[in-house]
Amino acid sequence: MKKTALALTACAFAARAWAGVFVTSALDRARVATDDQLVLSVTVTGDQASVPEPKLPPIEAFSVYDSGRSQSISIVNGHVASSVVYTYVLTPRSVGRFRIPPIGADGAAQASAPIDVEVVKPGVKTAPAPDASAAPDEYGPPSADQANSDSQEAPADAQTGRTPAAMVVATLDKSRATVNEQVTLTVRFLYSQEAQLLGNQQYEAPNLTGFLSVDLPPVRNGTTVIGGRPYAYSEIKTALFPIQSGRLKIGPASVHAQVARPGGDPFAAGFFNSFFANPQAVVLHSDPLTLRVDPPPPGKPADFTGVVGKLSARASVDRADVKAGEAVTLTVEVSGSGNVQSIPEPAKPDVPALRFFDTESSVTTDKAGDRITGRKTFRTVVVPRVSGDAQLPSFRFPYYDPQSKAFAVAATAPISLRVAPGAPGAASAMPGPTAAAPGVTAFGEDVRYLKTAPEQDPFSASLVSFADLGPWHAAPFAALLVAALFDWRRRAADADPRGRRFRDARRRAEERLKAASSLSDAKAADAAAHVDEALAAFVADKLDVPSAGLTLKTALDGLKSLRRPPAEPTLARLSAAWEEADLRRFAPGGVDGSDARRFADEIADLIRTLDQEIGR
Amino acid sequence: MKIALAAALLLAFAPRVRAAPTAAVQDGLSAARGLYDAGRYADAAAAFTTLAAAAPRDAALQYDLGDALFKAGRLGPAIVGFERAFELDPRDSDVRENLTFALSRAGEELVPPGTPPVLFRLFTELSERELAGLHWAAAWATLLLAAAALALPRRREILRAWAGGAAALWMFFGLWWMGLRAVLPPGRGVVIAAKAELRHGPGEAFDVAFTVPEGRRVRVLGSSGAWLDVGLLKEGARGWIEASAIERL
Repeated sequence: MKKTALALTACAFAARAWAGVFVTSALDRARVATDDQLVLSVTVTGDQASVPEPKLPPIEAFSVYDSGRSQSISIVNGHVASSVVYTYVLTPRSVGRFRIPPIGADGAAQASAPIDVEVVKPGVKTAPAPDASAAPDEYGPPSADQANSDSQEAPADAQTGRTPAAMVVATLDKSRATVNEQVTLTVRFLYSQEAQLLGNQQYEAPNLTGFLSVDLPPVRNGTTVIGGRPYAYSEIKTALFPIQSGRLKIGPASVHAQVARPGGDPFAAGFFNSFFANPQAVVLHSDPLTLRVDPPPPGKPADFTGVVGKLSARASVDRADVKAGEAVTLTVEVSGSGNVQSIPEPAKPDVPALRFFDTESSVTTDKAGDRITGRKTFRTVVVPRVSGDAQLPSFRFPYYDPQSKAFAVAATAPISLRVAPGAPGAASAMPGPTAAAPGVTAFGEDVRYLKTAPEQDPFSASLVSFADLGPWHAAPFAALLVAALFDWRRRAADADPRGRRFRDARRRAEERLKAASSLSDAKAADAAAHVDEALAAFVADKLDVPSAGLTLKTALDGLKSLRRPPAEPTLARLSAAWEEADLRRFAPGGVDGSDARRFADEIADLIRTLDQEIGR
Repeated sequence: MKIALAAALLLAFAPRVRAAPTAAVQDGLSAARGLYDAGRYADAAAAFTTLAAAAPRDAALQYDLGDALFKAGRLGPAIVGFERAFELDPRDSDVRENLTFALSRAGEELVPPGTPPVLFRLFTELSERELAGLHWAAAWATLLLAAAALALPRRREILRAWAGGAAALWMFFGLWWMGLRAVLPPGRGVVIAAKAELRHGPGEAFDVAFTVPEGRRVRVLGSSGAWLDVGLLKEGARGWIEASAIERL
């Protein structure tokens, strides 16, 4: 008997005129602490069997996790109506007032209204979720009616003592759990042959406020005997993850059915009586349930994010040998039991030598054995900035293990990268100004700012100016050349003493004459001697003979024998001067000072004439 | 004679010593920086271009010009500005950093491949003109000391020793200068067109050999009309490009 057509009824939208697609959104509360989480329900309704998915915009200051969907389809008088509720868990990232923006969907007449929410620091009192406030946590042992046992499954009829012909029984696999720990809700619709069901039945899920729910298909059918009465049943299981502590109520699950009402025709046979029976709508409810939810015990790790279950983690890279500037794909996989979808992205490590780009994640879940297990994979592109050995540190995923009742950490092993120098242009070999340093978060790279106070280096400016002297750089070469010529001449003179005496004859004679002129009038005799010696020494130097004992005749003969002899008038002047000089030197009487200086000038003029005519 | 030489040297130096910024230049700088701070980068670049044209040896102005051009989205001309600033003042860490950063955007890097960064840093610690100045200073010292040694025989020994030391410096700075000119030779240029095409010959009649991104540094090897024969420093490729797509350093 496969008559159970399952669907959730969207009571809130039953009265709507199904004229298109509508989107509404709701939060379970308006204030939340940073160590807590919110549940955002987005309902898309439409007058068609398939409604579009909502388009969730970026929500500021919240990490958003998809927590599943539930759908109901109803057909009323041939009119199809569909309603899908998408559930998201919002984990706040910062304190403040924020707004959930309008949420739309393809074909929607209008987006949902924005919702304001306030995020406060941990410890600040926040309003509990609306439907969870009814039963404050007393942390006492569960009462009998809160436990879920078969005693609820077979309520006997008070008058007949028999179990009813049809009933709905809801049970939980445990009566006490930790926040975020999986609890399995089983709703069983039991009906006996006497139930005389007509048509299909509609299943209305219980109110699960305070839980994340994940369907555990398929619908299971079977038979059972309760109180001696055989029943057929259809069973729906749902995995629940409580998102807050306290006594959370699970509302009654309902089944809308039509049963045969016995007809009033006394002549009708039983078969036809049944065939033509008037249908009667009945609604069967299960008893509400209560689950006691404990918060994680004290002593949680600082980076604990609320994951409950049992996890393992591993990290890998697509290559360990890489060049600076080339991309490496880092893959971090976290797998295990529990709500793996709620595992947050691992924090990017502060490694200045590595640049981490945005992380992409994907989730695969498995519902085998009605236990939610899965694997969440994070992929990040990592680019080494510099060459050398770099290490990707361990990534930690703390969790609470409800079985061992202890906190544990699933950690990846560190990964070493061997980074070779990159290709030109791939990356800067020098860490840039925006390279991430410990404790510093780099948001972007840009050029450095303008020069507000340019520094002037006078030494540098002088060097540059000196370099730009141009032709003046020939000056030291010229100086060296002059010095070399001077030195050459000096060396040449030192090597030829006769020639040097010949060339220097006039200079030495003039020095003597200058000395004679400087003597006072009282020393006229000495001056005359100097003049006489000057003349004789000049001729002796030119002839390269000793001046002592040089006679006028010898002098004249010698001068005439030179390669360039003086002219005869000059020789006549020499003869007259020579004799006068001898006379002045050896018979000085009557010679005054002025006359001696005049004579010295005459001798000087004669020497110049001789020197010019003889040559140097 | 000595007085005449000193006067000539002073005259040679005097026009090259940078004068303190005038009030007009200061006003221009303030205006350009104001435009930059207001986010009007293109206008700031135009203002800095005018200032830099008047003082082409001012590394800070070339740096500021590069900054404004970079922010205006003109990567190629920005690299030209940073390159000129780097040539003038290679010890400035801001200049070096911005040039490195801008070159990375163009797919290049400041340090040649295979060169240890520390060695490159030391090698480029002095600008080409500073090295030229040191080279010539050592040359002057060597030659004048040698001339003095010739002219003054009594002090020849001590002067010869000093001249030898100066000659060693002359050779050291000369080799350094030549090496730097080999690494940063004249005739370099930067692609300033967004995506320049290099052809097999000087004209559009020749096929496109490859394209070059803006900001890539090239060496100009020759020219023909409005076309330049350039070589890519990084890839070692060669081709002809329109002269308007290249700005020479």
